[in-house]
Amino acid sequence: MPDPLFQTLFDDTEAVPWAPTGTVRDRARTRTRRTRAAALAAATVAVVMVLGGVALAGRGPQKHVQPGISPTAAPSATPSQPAPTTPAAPSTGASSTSASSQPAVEPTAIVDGLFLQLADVGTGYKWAATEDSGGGDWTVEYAFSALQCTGSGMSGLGDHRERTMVKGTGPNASGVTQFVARFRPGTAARYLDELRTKIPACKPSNGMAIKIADQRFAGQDALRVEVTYGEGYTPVALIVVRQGDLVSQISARAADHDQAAALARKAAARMCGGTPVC
Amino acid sequence: MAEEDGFEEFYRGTRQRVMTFLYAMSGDRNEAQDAAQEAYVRAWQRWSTIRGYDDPEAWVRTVGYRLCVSRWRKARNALTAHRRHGTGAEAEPPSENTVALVRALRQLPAADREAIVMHHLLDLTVADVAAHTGVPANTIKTRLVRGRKTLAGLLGTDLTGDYTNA
Repeated sequence: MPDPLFQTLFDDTEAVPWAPTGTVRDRARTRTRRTRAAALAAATVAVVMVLGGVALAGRGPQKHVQPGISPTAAPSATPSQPAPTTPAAPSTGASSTSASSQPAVEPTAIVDGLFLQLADVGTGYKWAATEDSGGGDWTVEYAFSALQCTGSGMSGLGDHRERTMVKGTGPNASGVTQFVARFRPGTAARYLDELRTKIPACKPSNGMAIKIADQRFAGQDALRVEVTYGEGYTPVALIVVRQGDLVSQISARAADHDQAAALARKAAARMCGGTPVC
Repeated sequence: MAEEDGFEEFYRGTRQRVMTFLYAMSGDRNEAQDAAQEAYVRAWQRWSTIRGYDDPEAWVRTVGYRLCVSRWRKARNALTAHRRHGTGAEAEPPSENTVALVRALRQLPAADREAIVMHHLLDLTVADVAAHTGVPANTIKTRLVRGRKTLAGLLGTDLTGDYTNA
């Protein structure tokens, strides 16, 4: 039985209308179909990128396709514990079994090659399960919301995905989660400028805090944002890095200046595969 | 279909608890309901896995809370809320007591609020709260005592409970 003080809350939620179970199932099925369609589209683009890179190899470096970046299939490990923020990372499953003479195209999808790779973050990491989408519930925008501050709204946000690499299990597990988004032309730079305005304006209470700890250390622009979610919480470092119209956010717990800068530079280099600015 | 086993019962049996938890944590009943509804959609997507967990409700609760505070979800909801809920029957407005309690809860740090709500609303033991949050039991007790004291000051009433042996 809940404490009597809380009984009133239960009373007030008793008559709330709920969607029928069939509607819940229908929404879930629709979502699953869309996810699969998006994964298929991403895989198609990735194959085109890889084949384009192969076809043009030997003609000098490619501007839009970074050599050495191949789509990485994510393992199918399923967490035994609730892991609601495990990212969606559809395996591209790129294959060269069907030769094609298609030229490299301007990539628009957020393919695996635009993300940090396992080799970028150190030994012992593996890709996290692919079955869920974290929906960005750890990013700077999430921090704004959790700290009850006004965020940027990310106007101009286009295609986006996130992936997670994990090391270890249980309480000792560590991970690097990365979000990569393509913004409408010209709006990515504005997004980082908005963060420079919104973050100092965010003044949460109860021991919560957010600040820009460092900036302009990678790519065309970068920020290291430190977020504290309350008294006694260890500050979390969020790295934001921009390359052209691509913006990446990386969550690397307690990353210091050097670690953040190194990770951001690698992320910026990976994003060069999806933007003509490099 | 075999994978549907138990979902309807689970959905009907847990949704009010989940939503009330989210309401207490977020302070917004509409947001709480929408997040809870979305969390059950996600649960159904992978029900064949989640139903094997010791506590599937905890999974939905965690997902719901993350959704509840996600600004992105809020932005998306602004566009889809009407379509989702249509013109269905609206719930009665919350009572004065609820409004006061929710307002007081929002003044607690998130960690204290979580401990208070899990223990006093969901009726979880200190050990269970510790297990769910991954925080030592003594820290949970500290948060409960601190949160209870703050709530008492804000509401002029006290929560029952002795955490020393919980």
